[in-house]
Amino acid sequence: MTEWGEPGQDWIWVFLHQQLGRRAFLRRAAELGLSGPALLAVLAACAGETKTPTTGPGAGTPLVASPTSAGTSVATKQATPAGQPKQGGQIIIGTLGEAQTINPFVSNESEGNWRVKMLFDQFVRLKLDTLEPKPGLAKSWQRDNLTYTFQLQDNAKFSDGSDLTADDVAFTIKGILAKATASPRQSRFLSIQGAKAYAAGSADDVAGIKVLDPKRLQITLEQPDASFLINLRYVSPVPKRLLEGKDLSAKSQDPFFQKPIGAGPFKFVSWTVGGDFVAERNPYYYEQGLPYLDRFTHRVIADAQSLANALLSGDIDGSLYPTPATYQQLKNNANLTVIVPPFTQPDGWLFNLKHPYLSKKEVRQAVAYALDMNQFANDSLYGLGKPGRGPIAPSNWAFDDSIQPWPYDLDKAKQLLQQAGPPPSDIEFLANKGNIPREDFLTYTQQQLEKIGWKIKASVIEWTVLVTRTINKNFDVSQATFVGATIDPGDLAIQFMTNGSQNYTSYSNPQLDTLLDQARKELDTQKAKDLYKQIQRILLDDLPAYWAWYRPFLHVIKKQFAGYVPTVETGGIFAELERVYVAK
Amino acid sequence: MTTGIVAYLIRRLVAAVPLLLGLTLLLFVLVHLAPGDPVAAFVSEQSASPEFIEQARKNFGLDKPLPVQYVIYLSHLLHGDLGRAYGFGGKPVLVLIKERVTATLVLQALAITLALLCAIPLGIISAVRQYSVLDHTATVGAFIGLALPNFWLALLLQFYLSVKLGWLPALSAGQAQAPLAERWKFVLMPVLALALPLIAYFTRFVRSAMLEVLRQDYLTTARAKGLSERVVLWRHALRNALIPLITVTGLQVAHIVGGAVIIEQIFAWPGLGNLTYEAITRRDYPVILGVTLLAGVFVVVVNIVVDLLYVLVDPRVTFDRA
Repeated sequence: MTEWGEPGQDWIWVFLHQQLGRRAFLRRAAELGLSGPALLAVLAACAGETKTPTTGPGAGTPLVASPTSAGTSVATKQATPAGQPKQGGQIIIGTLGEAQTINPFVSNESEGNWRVKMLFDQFVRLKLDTLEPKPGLAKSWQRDNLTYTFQLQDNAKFSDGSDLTADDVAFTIKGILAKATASPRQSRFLSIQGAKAYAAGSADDVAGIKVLDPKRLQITLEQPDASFLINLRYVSPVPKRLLEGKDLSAKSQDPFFQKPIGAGPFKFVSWTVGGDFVAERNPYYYEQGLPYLDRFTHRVIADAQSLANALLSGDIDGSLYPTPATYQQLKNNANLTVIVPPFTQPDGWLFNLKHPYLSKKEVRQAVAYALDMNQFANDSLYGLGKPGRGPIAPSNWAFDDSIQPWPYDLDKAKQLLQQAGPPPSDIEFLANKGNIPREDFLTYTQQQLEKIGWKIKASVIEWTVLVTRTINKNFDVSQATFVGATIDPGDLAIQFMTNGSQNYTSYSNPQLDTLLDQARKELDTQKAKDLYKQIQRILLDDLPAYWAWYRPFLHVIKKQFAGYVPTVETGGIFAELERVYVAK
Repeated sequence: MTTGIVAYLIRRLVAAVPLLLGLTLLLFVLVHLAPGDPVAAFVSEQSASPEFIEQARKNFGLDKPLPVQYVIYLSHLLHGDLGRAYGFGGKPVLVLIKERVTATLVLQALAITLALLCAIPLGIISAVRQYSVLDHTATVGAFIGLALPNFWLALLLQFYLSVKLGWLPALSAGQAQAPLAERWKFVLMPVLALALPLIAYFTRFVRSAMLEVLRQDYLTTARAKGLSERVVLWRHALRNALIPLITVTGLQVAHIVGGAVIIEQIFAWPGLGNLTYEAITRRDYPVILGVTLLAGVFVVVVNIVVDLLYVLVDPRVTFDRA
């Protein structure tokens, strides 16, 4: 769960909501010493910490790389405390939400995906700064038109000592494609030749996947796919000999998924669900000397304030989930390093264009004009967040840096709304319960729209309900995070093309359809960048969603650790935990 | 009398069967009626494709009509199979419950025991020395204790005892790795956070029950017989005052399995409360049903035990049918 779940605090709100507003309660809590002094005073993120990477070549560039150089240079550059990397020590990482599963075929949220990466590694990894593809279990690759040939790491082994072969990788991709697996990753690999037929059950094998020899795999695509290489980060190979013919889906009863064996840097030890997930160094990991740490514990602490307390008391060594409200308190602690990582795609509002009123462009623009995002960022995001600048995360290579946040202009908003006619009284805006900044944004939106003469219905509902309603297009205005791109701008195609499988807004624009289709097939980065520039312009003018604000995350780790890099990639500063070490 | 108890027990247990069956039906319907889809917990905003959801629902058997799902659930249940969690690593529900039921029982047993040990003497003193300074102090203390939400108390304890003073670990997680002699440190704060409001609650009960008993004629008789005040209080007064306390404690014990959800979350106590909360937010039907069913069984059992305890305390209570 990437949410600021704060489930424990829900109860606090329920309890106190009658007497105190949420913010007032936080303030009082601060005065009582619960959240430390000067809770409201806010520091802007240090320049060095929010370092946003510059552009990089996109996916699809033919590339041959050596495995060891990639990544290490980045990691050591950021290693602030002195000391040579050495083996030993352990880390306890606190998390608010528990992983749903560690089955690499179906894991689909940040905690599960991160654990899968630690246990199984990835076939292709992402560079932590530019998010371009870099070698993972695939040591190198070459592209010849539509055919990619991958060379596996020479000594890649599973944690039981057996060899990882191209057969295992092919088996894993086919497992993801098979209909019975119900893998949320399936749609990412349908560009492989014959994949659609295999997924539909009309072919027994995937024509485009060929095992050349134990260490070489060839994959042929049906059409150019700029996302293909970075999508291979979703391939976390499993041993074929242990899983052939077995149920790979979420409901699988195979003991493998209770005690998995992978080729990742760490090896499964135990998992008490809702408590500790423990893994130790995989002695067979292909990279010499890695990981540095002997073991890690991923500990669920469901209460956000308790998580902060555990960091302050030193009971846990790091976390990605302290709330911005605890920023000062954590920053003032001598033992902790607090990092504000690069922003992901923005939060905001998602409009259902099937609604007659919301289908009017001036209505959506009126919403954007009516909201003062600078004020919201300062008040509700403690100055750590920022007004949003379009659908693509600012650290992504495809982001158009000339985009400015939407201006605040209440008069303009009024005028636009007058043009559109009187708003119906039943338009509902949705936010998910327990996600404090989103709840705040809902309230703020309600107040601001009232100023321009629009009374909305503000509903705070549970996360699973919000997801179900959005997917079924049973909403008026939902959360903008369903659309936009953090890692792969190619995601915009399925979200905004007329027949896109995740087109929840029901947006349709033939010009954009063409551009998106071109962009997702464009392997030349510069050309792709130009295409995405036009795409961003169109989306920001039409505003099927209003990308309003960047949510700040806090990544916190004890000062004695080094070797980590701030990134938007899953796992944040722990994305490459095998490179993290105890420096003193 | 023993045959009376056995017959009574059998009657109660037989009566419990339709009760629990009804409970499963009610729970099943309620859980499925609640909005939200368990499959939604498996998707992030970026990966929510309708095809995936459809296939995943099919895999979990959620595409079948509700009555069919219920019959399947029931037939598994009769074989002692509570099913498998959708999330939580797909573990069997029974395993999930077994992993943490002891932790919850231990926590609650310690808290209730501590509460009773403090509350009974406090309540008696308060009653015997009614309106004394001590009584007033205990009364004020009890009201504060009742008024304090225990999550707040827990966070305060955690902040001062762990963060500020560094005396105790902030979390209970990790106790399994600690040496045996150190374990109490992991237990103390959650037990205190649970016990303090309970002490207040029980104290008020003991006090009022004692006051009521103290006014009875038979105590005057006892004193008139020349019995020492100690014997009067402990043997005659307390024993009679215990009956309402047993009822109240029974009610409290029955809550155990539902768990100290908030306290378990704050201290990352590896118990059922944590599991229940997560399961509800994710609509993990098998886990929700499993835990609530267990809670139902527990309530039935505790009620029977409480009824049996009445016999021990009050000889006038009997199970023989007249």
